[in-house]
Amino acid sequence: MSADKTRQEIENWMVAFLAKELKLRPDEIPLDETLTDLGLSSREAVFLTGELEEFTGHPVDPAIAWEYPTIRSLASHLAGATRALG
Amino acid sequence: MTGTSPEAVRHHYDVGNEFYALWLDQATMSYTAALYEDGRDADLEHAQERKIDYFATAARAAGAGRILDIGCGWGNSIRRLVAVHGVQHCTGITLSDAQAEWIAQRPDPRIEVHVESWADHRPSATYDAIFAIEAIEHFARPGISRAEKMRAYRSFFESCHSWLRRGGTVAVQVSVYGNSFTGNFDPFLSSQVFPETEPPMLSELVEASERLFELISLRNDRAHYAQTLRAWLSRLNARRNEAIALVGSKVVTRFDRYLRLCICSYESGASDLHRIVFRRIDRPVTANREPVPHER
Repeated sequence: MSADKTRQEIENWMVAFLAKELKLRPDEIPLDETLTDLGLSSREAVFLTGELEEFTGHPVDPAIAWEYPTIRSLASHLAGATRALG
Repeated sequence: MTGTSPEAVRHHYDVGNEFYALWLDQATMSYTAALYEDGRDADLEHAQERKIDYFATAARAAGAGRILDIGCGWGNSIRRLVAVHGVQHCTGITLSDAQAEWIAQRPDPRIEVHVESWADHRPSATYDAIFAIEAIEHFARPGISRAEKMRAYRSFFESCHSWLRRGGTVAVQVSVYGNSFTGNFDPFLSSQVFPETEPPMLSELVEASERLFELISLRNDRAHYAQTLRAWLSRLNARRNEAIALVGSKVVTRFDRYLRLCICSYESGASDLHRIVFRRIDRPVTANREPVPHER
């Protein structure tokens, strides 16, 4: 298992992922905007959780984006969760 | 054709027995919602067996002579019915060659399996009970009219009625549209996971059974389906590398996404999971005949 990801690493990964998915420049993606407002559909938000699970190496709940709807809150939660589990 | 074509069924179920064996439960290899007792930490194996046991009791199938299992999957229900519930003979039908081959690897004189559609089934004798565990979802395809859909469901209940002995039962487990509309089936699921599949509304099944069967029990266990899907997802991801080696990363990602979408669908109530038992009405009323109240 690779080392646990930091909040910063998860944020960077999410920005790169969303830039690609939504065809935006990374600097066009504010960390405190909700994923929905950024243009991500609820289906894509569910798919994102699978990608995040692969990236972090820890289980990511499929419905997590409803509870933590922004990049910053989600990354912060996942970094905390992986530390707690690690 | 009204229902899912055999090719479309194989698209999903013939991905490979070894792949499914990685993440379905070892005891029964059930690919349908389990039945959990209270407490979320109950293990999947027991919950899958409990589902079969529940239907054996609710459909009064224990000790029966003959049972038909429509959409028998990898044969988990029929094996348990003969092994644990004293059923003398079970016939399973499936559209998947891979599933039929899997069952044939462990022959048992008390079970037989045919690769055929329920519509083509011709029983050699009547059945005491008929199981349809998450099979009805494949009886209609997207885009057909409600009238066509209803004809397919009605035809299913008429066939069951003609195949059952007096007082026989039909045990149905079915995923249906809940807080959603017909046609709301997710486009990703309907195009890439379950092609040509249109789930029913509960009301359609109830209407299609009228004057052939009386509904004697129903429970909505959508939370059990979410829990089952969570167990599958966690098993799949725990063995992700083996899964990728078997079927490739594209297929694994497809299954990961489908399991996640379905978890959200059952947790939100967009989909429901009903377990229903119907009992055969032995003297169905007809349009030109007045019912006699004391007739039995």
